[in-house]
Amino acid sequence: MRLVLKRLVNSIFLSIGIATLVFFLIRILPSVSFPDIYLNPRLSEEMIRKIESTYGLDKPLLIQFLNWLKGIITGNLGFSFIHRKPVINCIMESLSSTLTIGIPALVYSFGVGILIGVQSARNYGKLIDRITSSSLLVLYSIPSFWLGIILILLFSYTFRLLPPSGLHSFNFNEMNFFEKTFDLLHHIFLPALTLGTPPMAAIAKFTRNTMLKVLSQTYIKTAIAKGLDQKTIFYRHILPNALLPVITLFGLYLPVFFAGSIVIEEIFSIPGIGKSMVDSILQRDYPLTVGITLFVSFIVIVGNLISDVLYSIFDPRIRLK
Amino acid sequence: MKNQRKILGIAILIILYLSLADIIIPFDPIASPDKQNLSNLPPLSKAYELTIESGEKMFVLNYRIYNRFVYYDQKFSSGKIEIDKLKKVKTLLFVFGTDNLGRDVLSRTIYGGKFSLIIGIFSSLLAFIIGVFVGTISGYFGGIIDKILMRATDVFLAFPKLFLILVIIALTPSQTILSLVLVLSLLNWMSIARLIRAEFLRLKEAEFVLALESVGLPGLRIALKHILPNAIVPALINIPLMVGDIILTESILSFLGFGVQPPTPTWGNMISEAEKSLISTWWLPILPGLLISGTVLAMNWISDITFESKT
Repeated sequence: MRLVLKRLVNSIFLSIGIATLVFFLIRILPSVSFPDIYLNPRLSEEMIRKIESTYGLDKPLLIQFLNWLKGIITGNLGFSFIHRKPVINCIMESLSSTLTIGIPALVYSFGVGILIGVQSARNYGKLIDRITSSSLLVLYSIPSFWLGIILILLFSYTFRLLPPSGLHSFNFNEMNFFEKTFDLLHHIFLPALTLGTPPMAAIAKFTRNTMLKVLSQTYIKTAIAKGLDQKTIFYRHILPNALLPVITLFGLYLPVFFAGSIVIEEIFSIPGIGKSMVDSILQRDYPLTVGITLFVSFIVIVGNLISDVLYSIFDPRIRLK
Repeated sequence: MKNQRKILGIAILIILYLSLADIIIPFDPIASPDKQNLSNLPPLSKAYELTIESGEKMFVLNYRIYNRFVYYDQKFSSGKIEIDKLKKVKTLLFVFGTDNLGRDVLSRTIYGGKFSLIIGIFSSLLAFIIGVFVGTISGYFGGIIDKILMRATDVFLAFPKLFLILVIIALTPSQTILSLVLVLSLLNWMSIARLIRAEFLRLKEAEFVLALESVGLPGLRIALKHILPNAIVPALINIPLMVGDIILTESILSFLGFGVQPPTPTWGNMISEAEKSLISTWWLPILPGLLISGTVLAMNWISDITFESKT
């Protein structure tokens, strides 16, 4: 419990640190926050002052900073220039699209990754293990955007099996429930596969390594020596200990699935967080860019916190330290 | 010993590639001889360069000689010229096809890889230096300086890298290769700093340090001449991993249009251009993607074998 509390305090400081860094990143380049007002010759001096006071730019830096922090805590991340909506609403809207892809990808990468890793370690040294290990290394090295393009080329353009972009068909609203579900699954498949594959390879590789480490421990030898049957050894002694470190990966990969992948959303035209980020940069929708950056870093911190807490729940050794 | 040879082999391969890339490319990677007639040719297509009497060059896809005339086919038209006017014929082979501006994909990929590799290698070296610097200061001084530096490292680590890079790039007016190297190295030093610091703290307690202290060597000298070289070695394994990672990041940036700008090719921006016309020109993204994967794979493989030989 004390450990969790300590981590929590740590995370809060980390969040403040990130907010500070972002704030000063903006203030180092003051013309960026309102690129046009300082350059527009038709705006009078008085008008500029008025805009500055509306957005609180005329106050001292410290007050501005405190206001900025207050805004973040109350969820007020500013107002998007392009969408004419509060930034937080824009993020929430794109979050649903991101999660539609992210959650299946999460399930796929952890499910398949752990399965492959465990099987590979059980067959350590055999041909099948060598083949899977080297293909995992290859899968891990393929850039996801290229993988996406190749999958689109194969499944959408050559075999015409799956749609190349978007989340719904154009007549989505007229469908009944089953058709809707099918349509959604149809659209989710490729992006989720692309998003999940590199993490899947990493998880499988990691699982295999931790499995091998556990297999070489003396308590496994003891268990074998005292005549326990294979199943009990595997499910009671090997698996729990081998999967424990995989929990840390959960926290590490949380941002990948919950904050979306910029490239994959770009390729498959999914209106998620990553795509909003790129669009906001291209459209100079500056508050949205900052808002998304803060949001994603927040998810990273939460991910780390979750994996710490999970670890201390499942591994009593850590709690004792 | 065997592993060292593998690593040396890859290093030589990279150096050869960097020095030979400009020489071995068969065609100009940036300018096209004939934008119209050579555009979008599929892999393994042939074209012919006919030099006419006046010295003018003509690019045709096919030609035959019949009755004192040379009949030729171009992409959108065909025609004939008298045989006396024809001075020279040169066959052009586009192994991996051409892009929408008639440039050879193979040449562009070889030429563009140079930038991807240079950015990857220099950024990771610079990141390594920054990491060693921060880690050494943190490990040597300890106390409050250590706390501050490590918190700063945590803050940098908690930022999603790609998002932060995009923000920084969006805020800077224009991107050159140098600015990309700087940005990428500024965002990749954290793991090295942590490693070096941890090694420093461990080695501080080592017996040889105690021995050196008892001889009366000054602390700074022990740190720089005796601890630092020992602390750097385990961190060296991370360099190839970092090179691979940065090449991936760079290709993503170029893919999104925030990296090296066309007409200079890099693997990433070639794939990005290819994505715009996937249906008609499927061959464009294949080769650059294979090469990115191959390079990153080689880097991951190096770190894998060094890691395995250590344990």
